[in-house]
Parts: sequence; C-alpha cells; structure tokens
Amino acid sequence: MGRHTLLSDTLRGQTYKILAECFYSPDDELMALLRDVSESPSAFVCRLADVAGEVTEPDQLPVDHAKLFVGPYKLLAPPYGSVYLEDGRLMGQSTIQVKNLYSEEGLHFVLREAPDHVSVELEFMYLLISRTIEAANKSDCDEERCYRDKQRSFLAGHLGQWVPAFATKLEDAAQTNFYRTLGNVTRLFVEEDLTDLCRVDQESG
Amino acid sequence: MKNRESELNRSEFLKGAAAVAAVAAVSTVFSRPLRAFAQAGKRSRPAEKGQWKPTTCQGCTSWCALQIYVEDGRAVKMRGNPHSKVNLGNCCSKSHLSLQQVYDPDRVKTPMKRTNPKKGRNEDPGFVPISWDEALGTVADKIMDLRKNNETHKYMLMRGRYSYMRDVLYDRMTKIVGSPNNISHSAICAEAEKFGPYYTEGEWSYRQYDVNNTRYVILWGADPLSANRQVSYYLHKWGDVLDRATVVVIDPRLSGSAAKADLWMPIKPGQDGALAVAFAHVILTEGLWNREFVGDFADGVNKFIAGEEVAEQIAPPTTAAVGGEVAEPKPAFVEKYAHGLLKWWNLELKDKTPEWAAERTGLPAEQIREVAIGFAKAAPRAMCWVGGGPSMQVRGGYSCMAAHALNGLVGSVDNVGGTLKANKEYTSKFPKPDAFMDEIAKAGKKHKKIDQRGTKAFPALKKGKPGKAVVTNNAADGILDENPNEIKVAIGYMNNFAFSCPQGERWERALAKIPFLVHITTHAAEFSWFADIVLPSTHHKYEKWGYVKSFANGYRHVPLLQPVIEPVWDVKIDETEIPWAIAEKLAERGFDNLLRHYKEYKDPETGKAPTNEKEFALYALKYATHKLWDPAKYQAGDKFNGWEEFRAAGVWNSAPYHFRKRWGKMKTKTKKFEFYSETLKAALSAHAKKYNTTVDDILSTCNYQARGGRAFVPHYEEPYMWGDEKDYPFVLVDYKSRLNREGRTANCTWYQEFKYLDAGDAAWDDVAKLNPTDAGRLGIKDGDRIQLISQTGQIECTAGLWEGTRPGTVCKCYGQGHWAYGKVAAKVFGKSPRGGNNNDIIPVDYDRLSGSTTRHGVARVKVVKV
Repeated sequence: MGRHTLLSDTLRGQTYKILAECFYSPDDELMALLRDVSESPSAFVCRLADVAGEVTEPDQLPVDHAKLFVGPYKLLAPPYGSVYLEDGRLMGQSTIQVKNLYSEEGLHFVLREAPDHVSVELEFMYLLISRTIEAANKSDCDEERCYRDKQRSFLAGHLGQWVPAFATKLEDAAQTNFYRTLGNVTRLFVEEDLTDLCRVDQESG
Repeated sequence: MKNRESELNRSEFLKGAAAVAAVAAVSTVFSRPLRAFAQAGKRSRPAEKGQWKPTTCQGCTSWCALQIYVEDGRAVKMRGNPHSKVNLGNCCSKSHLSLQQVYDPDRVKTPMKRTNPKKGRNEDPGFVPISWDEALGTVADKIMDLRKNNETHKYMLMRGRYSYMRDVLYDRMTKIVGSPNNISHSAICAEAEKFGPYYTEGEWSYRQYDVNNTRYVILWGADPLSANRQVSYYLHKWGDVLDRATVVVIDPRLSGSAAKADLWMPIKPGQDGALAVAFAHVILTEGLWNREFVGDFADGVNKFIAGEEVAEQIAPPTTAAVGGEVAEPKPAFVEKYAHGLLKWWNLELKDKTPEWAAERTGLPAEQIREVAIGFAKAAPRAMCWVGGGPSMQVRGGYSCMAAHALNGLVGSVDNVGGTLKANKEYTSKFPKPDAFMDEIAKAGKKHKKIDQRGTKAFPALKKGKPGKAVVTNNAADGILDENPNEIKVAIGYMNNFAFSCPQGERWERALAKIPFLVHITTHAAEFSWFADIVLPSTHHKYEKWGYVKSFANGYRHVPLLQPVIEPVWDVKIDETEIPWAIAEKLAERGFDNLLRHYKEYKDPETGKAPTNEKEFALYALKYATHKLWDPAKYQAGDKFNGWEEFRAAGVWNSAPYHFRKRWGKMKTKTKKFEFYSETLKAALSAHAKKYNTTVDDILSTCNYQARGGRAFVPHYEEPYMWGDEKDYPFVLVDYKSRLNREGRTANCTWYQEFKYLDAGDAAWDDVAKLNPTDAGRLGIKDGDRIQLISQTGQIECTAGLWEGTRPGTVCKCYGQGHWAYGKVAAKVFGKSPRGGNNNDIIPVDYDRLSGSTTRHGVARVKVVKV
C-alpha cells in the first residue's frame, strides 16, 4: 500500500469521524469543529462545513435535531440500525451483533445509547480505519489486511445495510439545510465507500 | 425539497495534490477523543449466558409476578413467576407487548424542555434535550419561587399508574413542599366499584373472587378473561370454572367472558340496578336467602310477598298486658351477620318484581327469575362479580351497592366460593413527613384541594368520610376556574389525563394554563404536549425498583419490580430517583427538609442512610418490605432468610385465606353486612351537616333520585344520560381492549396487528360495532367510515356489523385515537389520530357520592355515514 492509499484512508477516517460528530447535539463545539475542517481535502467534509457556515438561525438546529433523532415523540429519522434491519424496535439481534463486534475489538461501549446508533457505528468505522493506518505504518501487512477486511465486513454487514434508508428519511424530513445536507452527504459517502472497499477487495483478490 | 446541489462523487472526494497540504486539518480531527468507546484492553468478550430474572408486570392492574429472560443484557422474552401463588406462573398475552415499549425508539431518552412558549394542540412544543442538572434545577427553582411567596398550595402532583413506592413522590414530597394538591387517577379508574362493598361490608377495595370453589358466577359488566383484575390467573382457571359453575354475564356487549358463558344477558345500558333489585326480590319471595348469614323471621315463616310491607316488629300479644305490664315488641326478623333486611324490603324491594325489571332491562322476566333462583340455590358458593360497567355511571354507586348486596343476601361474602377481601400483608409505610413540614408547608397544606372534593356537589364519600375521595376529572375544571386557587407548578407521572379523561379537551386547556408543567414518563403523550419539561422515566417492568400487591386464588402476593436490564438511555425512576434528585436541588437552594426526610429511609440491613438516588431507590424498597424478608421481623406467609433471597425469588405470598373470619366483624357501623347502611347514613348526614342542610337536599344537588330512607339502601336509580333519545338514538358502550386496557400499548405494532383479538375489531383500525339490524336501517355496511356524534364531541372510525352488540347501542373499545403518542399510535403524528378517542364523545359527569368519573350508560350518540 502506498502513500496515496494512506492519505485516502486518513481522509476516509476523518470523514467518518466528522459524520459521527454531526449526529450529536448541534452545540458550539460541533460548529467550531466544522469551522476547523472547512479546508479539508474531503469534499464531503467541506460540503458539511459549508452548510454549517451558512446557518443563519442557529436556534432551529437543536429543534430539528431533536425531532429527527431524539424525540420525545415520533422520531422522523430514527438513527438506529435495528429499526431498519429488524422490526422497527431497538436492541434487536443486529444490535447485539454490533455490540459484540465492539467487544471483540477490546472496546468498552460507554454511551447511554443503543450500540447501533449511527454515531456509534460511524465512529467504529473511524476506529477500524485508524487501526488499518497504524498497521500500515508498522508495515504489518497481515494486520492491515485484517483490518481492511473488518472495515468491509462491518460496512457491508451493518452500517451500509441501513444508512441509505436512514439518510433518505433524514433528507426528506429535515427542516434545516444542515441536516438535509448531512443526510445527503452521509448517504453518498457511505454508499461510495462501500463500493470502493468492495472494489479494492476484488482488485487485491 | 432536497438539495441536490450537494451531490458529490468520487472524483471530488480527493481534491488531488492539494490534499497533502491539508494534513494539518486532518490531524485536528484525529486528535479528537472517542465518544462512544473506551479502550478496555482485552479483546475477548465474556460469554454472557441468558438468565431468567424476576420482576412485575403493570401492563394492567393484575400486577403479575413475572420472570424476564435477559440475554446479552437484553430482555428477550418473559413468563409468569412460578413462585407466585396468585398468578401461578401465568403471564397473559398483553404482558409481552412491553418488549416493544421498553425498546421503542420513540421513548423519551433525555430530559427535554419546550422552546415554544405558546401552548395548545396546534402549537408544536419544539422540545430540545437538556441535561438532568438543568432540568431538575429548573424544577427546584420553580418550587423555591412558590415557597418564597408563601404559595406552595399552587404546587400540584398528578399521579397515574403507580407502584407502592408512590408515597415518596405523591405524598411526602407534596406535603413537605407544602401543598394539599396530590391528585390521583383513581376516580377515572373505578372508585364507584369500591362504593358498593364499602357501604355494605366496610371494604373500600376491589374484591377477591374464590373461583376455585364457586358454583355460580354472575359477571356484572366485568370481563375477567380480557380486562378485569387478575387476567392471567382467570384465563388459566376459567376452563375449570366453566366445568364446575354456571356463568352468567350481564353486559350490553358480548364480551370475551360472555362468549364463553352459559348465559349472556344483554341488558339495556344503565339498568343494572333494576336487575339487581329484582334478583333480590325473587330471592326473598322464594325464601332463598342464606339463614346462616342473614338470619330468619322469628317464627320461621317467610313474609316476603310481592307488594306487601313487612312489619319490623312483632306486636306483643294482647294477653301480655293483662297484668298491667306492657311487653316490649320483638323484632320480626332475627338478624345474624346482616343488618336491615326488612328495611331494604320495605323501602325498595317489595315492588321490584321480575316483570317490573323486564320493562327496564329489556330482559325476559322469566329469565330474571331463573337466574335469581339458580344463583341463590348454588349459594353460598355463588358470587356477584361487580365490575366497572354498572358502577362507573351517573348514580352508579347505588347500582354497584345493589349488585354487591346480593352476595350478602346469599351469604357468600367472605365465604367459600364467594367474594373475599384481600389477605393480610406486612409492608410498612414510609417515615412520617410531619417533622419536616415547616410553617410554610403547614400553611400551604391547609388549603382546599383543586379537585373540589367535599364541596356540596362532590360529597366523595371515601371510607365513610365526606371529601375523602379524589374527583380526578374535576381537577381540570378546578385549574381552569382557579377554584379554589390557581396552579402554578405541576408535575404529572405515568398519566395522560388529556387522553384518558372524558372530555379531555378541558385538560388540554387546563394544562396549557399551568405556567410550569413537568411530565415524567416513558413515552411522550398528549399530556406531555403541554409540558415545559419532559423527564424520561424508567420502564416499570424492566428498569425500576418498586413493589406492588394484588390478590387472587385465596392469596395475596407482593411482587418486586426490579431493574433486570441496564436502561438504554439515562433515565431515572419516577417514584424514587427523581424526587431524591429534586430534593438535592432544593437543598442546594437552601431548602433541605425534603432531602433530610428522604435520608430517614435507611437500609434495614446496614442502618446506613442513602447518599445518592440509586441507594435511595433501593433502601426505600427494602425499608417498605422489611417485614417480608427479614426473618427477625417475620409475621406470616412466605419466609425468607434475608433481602437477597427475597429479591431472587421476586415475590412474597401471604398465608392462605381465612374464610368467614369477618362475619360479625365488618368495618361498618353495625359490624354487620348492611342492607340498610348505617355507614352510608352517617357519611351522608355528616356531609349534609357540613352544609347545614338535609340529606335529601344533598341527593338532589348531586343528581340522585332517592329521598328519605331509600338513600341508605341499595336501590334502583334511573340511568342519567347525556343527549335526547330522539336526536342521539344510540347508547355508547365503552370497554377495555385485551391488549391495551390501561392504554399504554397504542404505540406497539403488536397491539395494532392483533387488534382483532377484541371481538368485532380489525387490525390497525378502530371499529365501532353496530347491531346488523340497526346498521341495515341506517344503510351502513361493514367497513364504512362513520362518525359518532354526542352532545360534547365527535369522532370518526370504521363501522363493524356485529351481532354481539345489543340493538340500540354502539360498542367501541377504548384505546385508539391518539394524536401525539409515537409513530405507531397516530395515523399521521400530530395531525390525524388512528380512529377516535371514546373520551372525546363521553360527556364529563360523575357518580358524585364516590367521586367517580362516568364512562358507562352516560353518552348517547348518533351514527352518521361519512
């Protein structure tokens, strides 16, 4: 793997991490982060930073965020994997599967949230990518391949399975441009990353 | 519209060589800490084997002891707890729906505050998440404002369903803050059902039914196979009951129990009292009353002849006066454990023939006679099981009394195969609040209650005391009229008065009027729509410490509610953790009385005072149940070696029932079963005295027909309905769903998918059932959309043609019609409900002697095809 791959992994990791942050409450910290990355080489990140910079009525963001992802009533875009992969409820079999994957990576899940919340799965992808990069830096090809397989398997088996449906709901239901764009960017990025990972798999296979 | 400008593609992702220069920006992100994870180091996952864990179901009021199968920290299935002698390891279908509640993505996950200051059904609250610290701090600030201004009586606590940890929040906190206004839901539930037994045998309670030994069951508007009391137990036993006993169901609707019964008597709504007094008339004229319990005529000759009064005294023989001495007259009837039978006959029963009742009830006179005789001949192993149907009506307290009095007449009260009270249990009350009530609190507490109980028109005679019973539904009017005062700060928990009270629209206005409203709940509902702060509560069955008590099968059990799973979100226990957390915030603001009081709830094992909300929740429970699990405090029933053994079993069972122990020791004025209620006479007289008037004037004010002595005997009152028969030709028959009952499962897909389990209903729909002959006359076909219109409202639903509906009535299940209760319950959230809420067409009215809201035999409706 050459420098080009490393850099794109770095960008992929950044994008996953930024996306993960974007589904938490839209506080000042998030806005500051998005300002910090406004020059990112990732067009996905830039697009998000741009719309964050265009927010004119910041009071609308928390209300929109709550209606979409928190409640307290009907969630307009439930951010949980099992809602799409199973019967519309939480803590299904698929939720336990991802929770077990986290444990297998030696991770302790610390949030008071369902383990298949979109932010959690996005951050997990970021983590798998970081470990891939670490392995590459150590020139440990086996480990690098192993983590790349894990990325692909998680994206194809979990995140990529439901995020398109979730993000489409988000695009449709969001009242603010920021969240509409977040839905759009998330969907496109995840779909494209999945395609890329599978292509890399075929090429190397 | 979607913003398609933001479409991106791979070629744009990496902006070529410029990217290299931007590594600095990338590293900013990579230096950010993980939010969802901590590195645990170990990469292996300890295999977690599934385990059955005990807890309690409060999906309805059966309160079954259950076990939940927990696998990987997740609740996956349940069964009845085999240690319970009440539900005997059984668990009903409704119970399983709770899995969809606890893991509902629409649950309240975090404290939230309203951002739209305007309140109303068409005002989106605009809730946003806030921290527990901010939420509880705000609540404490509002309470402190009341205390500063000496207006703590303007604080109100509204209670819906509860566990017996309730007094921590409901009673102690309200008193120590300094308000009289803790308002329970009880009067929208079934208080009138307690009125009959109290004013005959001194028990303000539901009854226990000895179905193991009974030979004749008359169900009065009760449907134990669907919704009345210990459903899982009766479902389990009912096959045996049908083998051994004759089962008669009195209900305008073919209920689940009626479908299995020997006889269904589709009575005209509101006429239960007529049938009950006619049964009594037959039993007496046929000489079939129970001599052992009631007594007999002095000469053993039955003098109950239709239309004829019976002299209460036997005149002394004329020869006795010969020697100049006048002999005392002797009672004509020698009473044993019952009081006032002759008065009852003379004041009420003598003319209440089956023919008289047939005219009112629409039931054949011969059938009335047959059932009365069959019932009395099976006695004392015979029971009148009186449910909410006859009771929760205007004047319904007397119908309940009349139907329950039949148990006295045949000697089945407290007897084998009859109606029993609850067995004794030994839980303890929480520490008294008095020492922690300061002058402000004492002054505040002295104000009158917001539900206007005890005013002339609301005698609310709980346990013989005027003004003791809650008048839940009238609190809305109290708030709106600021009578007796305004309410400024209110908390509601596990309730939804804006939906569950008849004419809930008044509640919407009342809640909107309260300047600061808090709702503690698992699911945001119509009530929350008007709240300033919504606090997420634990789910009672899976996430809470608590206990309840219920009875059946000759036993009482005390099952524990236990946290069997780690909650998905940062929720707190409504009845313990939240009041503790509020007490801490009050203490920070200089008022520490409540916190000091809560610190009195010490762990009985260690003597340690609680130091945080988690300890408090557990210690309070151990404190209340101390005598059940500490061998040194043992009283009776199951014996445990300590808390841990009790907790692991999950339920304590009482000693078996001691039949006939109460004969002659009832908690009435005469210690007897009262057919002429001296107890009610004293209560009504006390209320009249308070207003310097007569009992007759009170009865007139409260819309009862009885005058004079009839007020003190179980008697017939004509039903009082809203709407003229000409304009509103049908009577609404409201009842509870098998899978919903108390109404908290509407956001579960399983409830909607299996809605057809309520006979005549359809999946994902709300069906009003009409008799086919009525429907034919109106040109209405199965599946047509119809409107039900009453004097006070209208709803839209689907028509169903069903022979199980008595002609002249419309039968409709309660439970649908939510407009703000998650994604499943409403058809279009916030806009159109799925079907209609019966409470929108039931006019607000009361059985004023018990304080009960009325649901049955009160609403006349017309049916219009849409």
